[in-house]
Amino acid sequence: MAIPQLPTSSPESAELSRDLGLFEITMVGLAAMIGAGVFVLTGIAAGVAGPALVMAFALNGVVTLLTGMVYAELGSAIPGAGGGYLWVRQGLPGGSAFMSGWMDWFAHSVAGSLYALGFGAYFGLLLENVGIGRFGMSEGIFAKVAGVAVALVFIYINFKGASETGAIGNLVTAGQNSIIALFILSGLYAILIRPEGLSNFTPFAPSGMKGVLQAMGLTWIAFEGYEIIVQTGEEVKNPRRNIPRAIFLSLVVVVPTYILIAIVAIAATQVDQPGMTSWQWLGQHGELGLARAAEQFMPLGSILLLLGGLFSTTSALNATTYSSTRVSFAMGRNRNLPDVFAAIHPRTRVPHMALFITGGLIIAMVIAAPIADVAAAASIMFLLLFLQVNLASITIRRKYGDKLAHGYVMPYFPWLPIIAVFTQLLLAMSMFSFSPLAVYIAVGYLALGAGLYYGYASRRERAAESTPVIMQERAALDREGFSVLVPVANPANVDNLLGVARGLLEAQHGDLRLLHVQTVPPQLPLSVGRDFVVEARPIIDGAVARAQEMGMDPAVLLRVAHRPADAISDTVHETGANFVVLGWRGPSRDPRTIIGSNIDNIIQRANTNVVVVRGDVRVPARRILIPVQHPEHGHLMAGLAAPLADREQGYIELMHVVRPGLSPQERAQRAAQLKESISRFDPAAAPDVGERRQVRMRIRIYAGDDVSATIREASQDFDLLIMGATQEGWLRRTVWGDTTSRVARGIECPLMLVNLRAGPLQFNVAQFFEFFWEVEGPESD
Amino acid sequence: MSLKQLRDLGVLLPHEEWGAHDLRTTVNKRALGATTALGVAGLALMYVGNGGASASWEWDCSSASWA
Repeated sequence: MAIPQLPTSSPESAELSRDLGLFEITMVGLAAMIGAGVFVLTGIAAGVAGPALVMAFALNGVVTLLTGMVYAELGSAIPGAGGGYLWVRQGLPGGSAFMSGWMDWFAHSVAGSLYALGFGAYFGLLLENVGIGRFGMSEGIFAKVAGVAVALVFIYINFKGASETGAIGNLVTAGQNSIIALFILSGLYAILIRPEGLSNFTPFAPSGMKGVLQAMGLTWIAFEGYEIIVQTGEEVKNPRRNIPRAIFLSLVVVVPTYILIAIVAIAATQVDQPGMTSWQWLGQHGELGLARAAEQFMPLGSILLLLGGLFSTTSALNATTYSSTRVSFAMGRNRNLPDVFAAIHPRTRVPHMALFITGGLIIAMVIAAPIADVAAAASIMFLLLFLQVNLASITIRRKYGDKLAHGYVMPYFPWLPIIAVFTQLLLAMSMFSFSPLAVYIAVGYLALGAGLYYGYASRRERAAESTPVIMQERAALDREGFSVLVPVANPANVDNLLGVARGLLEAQHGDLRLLHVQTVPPQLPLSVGRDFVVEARPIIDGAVARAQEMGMDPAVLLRVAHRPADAISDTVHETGANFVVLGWRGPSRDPRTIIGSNIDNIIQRANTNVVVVRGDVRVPARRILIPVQHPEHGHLMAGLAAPLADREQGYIELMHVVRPGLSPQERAQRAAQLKESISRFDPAAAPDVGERRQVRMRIRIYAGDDVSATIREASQDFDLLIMGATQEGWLRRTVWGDTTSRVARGIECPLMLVNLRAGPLQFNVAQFFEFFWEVEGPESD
Repeated sequence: MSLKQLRDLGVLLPHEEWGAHDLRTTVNKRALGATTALGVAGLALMYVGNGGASASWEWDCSSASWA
């Protein structure tokens, strides 16, 4: 049974000795895979797929191999570093890491319910065989009662801190594997002496491919466990070579074993009831199918299988109670779940609240749902978990593949993980026809997780990761009202920035917030930034004095960060600043950036209006030129420029460049569109921009093949050029970037670049795509 | 994960080695093709053969047709 280990703030075992070889870690994988899953689920799956269970196991082996390759590649390159959870955290954007932990918690808890019910079923059969009986209860009710009881026992054991020792665990694993081997050999012998049992394979697929897919989804939980091999990376000799080999070796052993179990169960079982096939008989006995079959052909079959089942289910229940508790504890400590999950009992030193809540979830599923639905729900969650890892592998290979030393590289990338994603999705969806209840539970749980993340966990994450504030004056972090944020670093540029800010604030009667970011080199802790506060004071005081001279009364904030963009973005998120006014030295030489890495980062991360100023901007300006690419956006730019224009003698020209061959009628149409755009300007629809009335505006259509050259030439007669971005996200980076750079390199008049705030959906979509598009370089480290 | 995190984990290659390692895996196409063909054929035979009921390897000499 897999025991996931989430990354902790204090890394464990930083210097473990490398004692484990290929054999040992392969055994770790086999112990995690072969166990309660196959004992409990084979009978149920046989009833679903019929003899085609053999095919279902074979196909599951293929699908598992695809994800196994992903684990082999990532595990060989980044061994022992948190495994799937960490890869999803870094390889997928947004709340994927939270959802990974959320699903992991549920998957292991529900798996625990499955094993508790399995224990209840096996224990009931044992009592029946020894003549004690089920105390008057039906099979199903007794399984639930015993399942709740054993779950409580292991909750108590985990609370006391006692857990299965390594030696006992190895004994249990050896015992159950021996029982399985004896089952297979006995069954093969039974087939040999009674070959007519092979007729049980006809009809082969009574439920068709639908039944095969359902059986694949249902038994998926029996094929997971190899991922725990990756966790041993810090203790393995030559991990880059041995981890991939151990993963593949464990699959080579497990998949044929399961296929043989299916063949033996179908062919060696004899059924007395007329008209009933062996697979129907197995399905009828459900989780006890294998035990009942063993009675027929295995020496001491019933007792041995029962003991094997009891050992494996209790071992698996202990492991899943432990692992699911640890997942929720880690989420509590990472502030993804309420702090109560992170509480540690003062005496026993275990995360007791996480344990009790998890135990409650396990018991609730034991009571509420039949075993088949519980199994289906667990399998769906594991399928989605592995789906996430497959997706993350694509991003990680793209972003960091050439920067890591791989012990194994999967072939036909990215097609194999893509195929894995689609097949896992298909298997998860196929569970709906088998158990709609399981799908409803899974979907409901995911929806609850999404709501919890966006309504609670994401805010706590952000608060925990935000750059520290070491000084705040006048409620600088207050979210109320219209505000303009001006990061101050260069005293020579302060007048320009404050002039623009004043123009924006006058139209909206808002507040000015000054931010100074004390940067600290990446290799030093942020705490050293406090030592430089004294040096920052003259810059801050100078900016405050100048703002007050201009008639503004600013709030002041001082933060420490490795990168200024981080502090600025955090401030925007916390204050809801409507505008950020930044200084710009000119086009970047770095081909990966448009304006500069800092400004690009702010535009990417902070959904606000960003104004970038270059040159000596005198506000109010008399002549302002605004190139407009899309006439329908003219009103936005006009509204933004209006507060910056001289109302008495100033004017704003909106220019639109068309190709020279455009007819006069079409030019007139473009001009009319611009005019109409301005005339329907509604301040309520664009609350961040000021009213464009009271300032003279004119519209002019220019003809030119080279848009940037036309703009450069026209700008010679103006005091200020304001350019806006009309595309967002990754598309903006490839389209707007080129025009911006070409224009900016050639003009002489002061320049303002404006990136208007996107709608929340548009911004989140843009962020989503930019996460996958962006490739980090050494300078941005 | 960021480059800094990878460096802290000790798995990041030195800068001068970035891009120097081949990320292609050589695959024995014959072996892969043969294994895939065998696997697909096996599964297809299992499914289409319906557990052996639809196929017979007996040759009926009298009627000179497959039984």
